[in-house]
Amino acid sequence: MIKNYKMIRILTLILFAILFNSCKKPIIKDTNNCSTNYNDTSSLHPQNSQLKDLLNKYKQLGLPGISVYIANTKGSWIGSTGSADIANGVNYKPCHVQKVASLTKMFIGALLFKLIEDSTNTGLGYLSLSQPINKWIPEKFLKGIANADKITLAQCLNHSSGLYDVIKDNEFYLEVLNDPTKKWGPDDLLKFVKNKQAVFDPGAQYSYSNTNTLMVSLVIDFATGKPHHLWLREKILNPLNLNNTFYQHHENLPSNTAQGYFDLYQNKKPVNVSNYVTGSGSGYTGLYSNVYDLHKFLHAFLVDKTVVSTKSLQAIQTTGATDISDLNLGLGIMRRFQNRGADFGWGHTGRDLGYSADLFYFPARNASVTWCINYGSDAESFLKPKILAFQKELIDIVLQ
Amino acid sequence: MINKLKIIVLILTFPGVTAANNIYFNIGNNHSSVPFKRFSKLIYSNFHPVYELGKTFDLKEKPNWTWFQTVNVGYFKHRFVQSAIMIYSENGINKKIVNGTSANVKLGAGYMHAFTAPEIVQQNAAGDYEIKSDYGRPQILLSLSFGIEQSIIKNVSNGPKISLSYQIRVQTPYVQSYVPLLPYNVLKFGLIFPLHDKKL
Repeated sequence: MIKNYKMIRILTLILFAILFNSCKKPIIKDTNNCSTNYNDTSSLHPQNSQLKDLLNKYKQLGLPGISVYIANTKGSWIGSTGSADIANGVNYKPCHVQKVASLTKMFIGALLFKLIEDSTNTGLGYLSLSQPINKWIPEKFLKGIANADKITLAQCLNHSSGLYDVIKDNEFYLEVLNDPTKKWGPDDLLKFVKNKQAVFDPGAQYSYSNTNTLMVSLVIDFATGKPHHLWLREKILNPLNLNNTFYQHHENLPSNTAQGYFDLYQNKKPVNVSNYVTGSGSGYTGLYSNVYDLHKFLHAFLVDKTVVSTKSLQAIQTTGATDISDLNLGLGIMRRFQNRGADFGWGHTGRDLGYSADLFYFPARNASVTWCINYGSDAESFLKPKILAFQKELIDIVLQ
Repeated sequence: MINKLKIIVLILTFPGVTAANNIYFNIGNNHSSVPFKRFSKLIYSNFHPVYELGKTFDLKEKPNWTWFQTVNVGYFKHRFVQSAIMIYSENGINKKIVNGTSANVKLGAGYMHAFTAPEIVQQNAAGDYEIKSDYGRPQILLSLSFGIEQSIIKNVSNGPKISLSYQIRVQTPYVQSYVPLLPYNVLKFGLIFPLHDKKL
């Protein structure tokens, strides 16, 4: 009997020790102020007051923090408003870094073509685009994934694969809640895709799915034998001097990372959801950046066309029609705002828990729009219509 | 709120409740997960502690089984998500398996007051956001538990016991529009102490 009591005491002590040592540390801590040596001539831009008024209007309408970098024939304009960290009273500045969500896909798309161009070292080539992903991704990752032997790399890039979208899965969100700061690996994510029906046969339609870019990142990993995050740093981020861009979980985030908010309970009282990680580092999300770096990337990629070759850019900008009237999907890129006629834009939107961002170049007007807002996601909430209205009004001004 | 309290009082004053048999303390781990899934992870990953103090009331006793009611007060903490105070009652059956060992199944309902872990903000009249005090959110709790109990003292069925239980707990409404039910899987280890030493 005494022996049993001793055992219980020991077991209880062990349990208490485990439970009190179980707390994980936050990934995004309090936000610090930041500064930049950028030569800002925004006050000279003829639309300066119009753009300032726009930012103030949407701050009043409830967007927590906004930063904007636009460039048009009248010049460049950079501005910000609101809070990067409400609890600590830190104002949102253009130098603040935040999650840019699905803009990550545009970087991964560009990276893949950089690797295709370096075929002697990577083993990837333009022909790889029409080959099935099971040529590179091992069976253990693809077992149970519908049509894995038929889906091509290009179909993953332009979302015509029919792959079930991992982020639409209820179990996935329960896991996000259960372990908000989880470092997601590809196999952790693919278990929510396995044994799920294909949305459609590969190549039959176009439907946006985050699983596609997860597959692209896996192809890069296995085809080259080197993780895609290292290639991203080596081929894109370092050559372009994108020193304010970080890939979550593979790289540490800086102290000037803005907090992200979302009206989680649908009661117009947003919650700080900065530490809810929805699969960062797996190709489809996880890049943190600011408007300076995003603009720099967009300009090099689509205006100066120095990131990839002309042949690659032509392939990237080959689109298929979606069922959304103003959206066509290219290879890692979107052709959006087609309802504006010739004034459509090339780029990508990004929406994730806590954060939203847009990155678009409008070739007919030689204008670009880059913005970050520390509120998201794309789920219904009282601020979603305001983000859409902000997007429209900003483009209207830039294209005036 | 008053109605919920009335229900709890009604359970406590249930006419069949005549004897307070056991008190117990549970400590465990809870995961937000689909019921019956990822059971093994409750043992080795993501510890979200739960603590409970409860009391068992026998409603009907037969040689091999007991029909009983419980009243529980508990607290759990889920890092970055929420913490909550729980007050709930369960109705269950305990069946003797072998001498000193029994298994039980319990169905419960009660009240949970949930506090959001990250800060909540709200826009003020000037258009700026500010921190909003969190007084918590009222939630309904529903539960289904399966457990086993083992006497610590050999050949004494009414002495102290250890228990292991698996509970499916549902919190509602977590988010009215898109997460109406938030399921938790809970693994609890407990110590049970008899209040009446009837058969020693």
